[in-house]
Amino acid sequence: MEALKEEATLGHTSLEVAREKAAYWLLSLEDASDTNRAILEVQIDTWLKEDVKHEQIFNEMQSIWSATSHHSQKQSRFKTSILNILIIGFIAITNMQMPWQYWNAAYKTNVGEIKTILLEDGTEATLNTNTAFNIDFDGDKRVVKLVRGELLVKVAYQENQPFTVITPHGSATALGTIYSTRIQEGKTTVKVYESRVTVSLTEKPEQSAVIHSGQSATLDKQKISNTRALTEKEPDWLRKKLTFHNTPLSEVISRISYYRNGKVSAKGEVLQRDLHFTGLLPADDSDAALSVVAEALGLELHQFTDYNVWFENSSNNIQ
Amino acid sequence: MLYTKLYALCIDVKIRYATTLDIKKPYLLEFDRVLILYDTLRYRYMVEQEVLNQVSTLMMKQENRCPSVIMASRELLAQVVFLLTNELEEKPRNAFYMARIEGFTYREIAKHLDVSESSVKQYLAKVMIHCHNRLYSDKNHL
Repeated sequence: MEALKEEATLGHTSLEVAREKAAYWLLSLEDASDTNRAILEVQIDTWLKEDVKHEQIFNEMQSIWSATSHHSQKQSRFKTSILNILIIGFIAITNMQMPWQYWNAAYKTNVGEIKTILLEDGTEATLNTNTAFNIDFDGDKRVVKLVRGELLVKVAYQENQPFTVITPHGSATALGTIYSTRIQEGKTTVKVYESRVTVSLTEKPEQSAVIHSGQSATLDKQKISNTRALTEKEPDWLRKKLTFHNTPLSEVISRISYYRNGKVSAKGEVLQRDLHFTGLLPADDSDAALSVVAEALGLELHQFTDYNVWFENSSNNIQ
Repeated sequence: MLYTKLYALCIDVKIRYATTLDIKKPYLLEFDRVLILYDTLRYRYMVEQEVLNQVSTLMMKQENRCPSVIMASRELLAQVVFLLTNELEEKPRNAFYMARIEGFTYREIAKHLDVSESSVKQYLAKVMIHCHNRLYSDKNHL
């Protein structure tokens, strides 16, 4: 009976009104200055006390709002699949992408974030740092449009339904695959880890090549460049690690930069020393990665806010 | 469309949180079976509604849960909310993405979308009301 009475006082339309009011309060609170906030909080409190339902709706709205905060996105762990496996990596442009494409993209990761998702056809897609893509699946074909970054896909095998990744430079097609896509300046790099993949250029579709497992190819607007043998069985970032074997410091810095907001650099006198680094760094914790490098090479890490970090020669260890 | 994405999302959640998100396990098994048996529009709608109800129920019972489960359900809610935004027009959706993903202020969003700040607030309210409507349908408020 109690519940029935309540339903009568808070009917369908008043529920809608309460919803609107709750959304309005929540959004005002988000935007309020310190002085306004106190007044607003009193107003909200009064409104919440008017009806139990008000409080419930407000709390639910708050959970929707806070769950979608960009700080709360948890990173996921990569899972191996039982499907047919082949991996391609793409490298294409990061600088000239349009933010609109990024905002509108269906799937994306922030800088420093690595995430695995399951697409509707059963394909597993792992997004590296700062990556965005859209999907366009219809009956005949499965198309992924990479907007930026790097994507690895383990494609669920489906007969007569080829899976294609498209970048501004070209496309890579396979039937049953796992592959990753990454965009760098002026080019797209395809890495195949198992089986084989057909690549072709966007502007010259007659130019195509077949890339076999353990090989990679680079596509730019004009040509498909020579294939290079891969040393690894899967990309290291898949396990959220960055591996370096006697790698020049400048390369190490540029790789870490992809996983960090802001600028990472080294002073000229540091770069002159031609230092090399060997080791395993965390991809999802660039602070830790930078301090490991500094310690290993006997350098000092300086920073001006989190957005500008640089290496200097250690003052008590002049070489 | 939403139904297939929700389905993929739930499988994703099942893979990743099967051990922690115990309340979803038996339900999702049921969910798989329902899909195989009745692949018709009506059942798709039912399943979609069921997933949404389940997500909102999951959010309600947050006490006495370990932090990992709370985080997992929060993430699930976030993903469902972003899926639901696809049912809205472009401007409210983009305003919401800018506010929540990019962390923009209302003023910055207004500048990008070339509308007034109060319109931005209206867009965001629209998204919030829509998501609340879909997730917490009337029967939860009886």
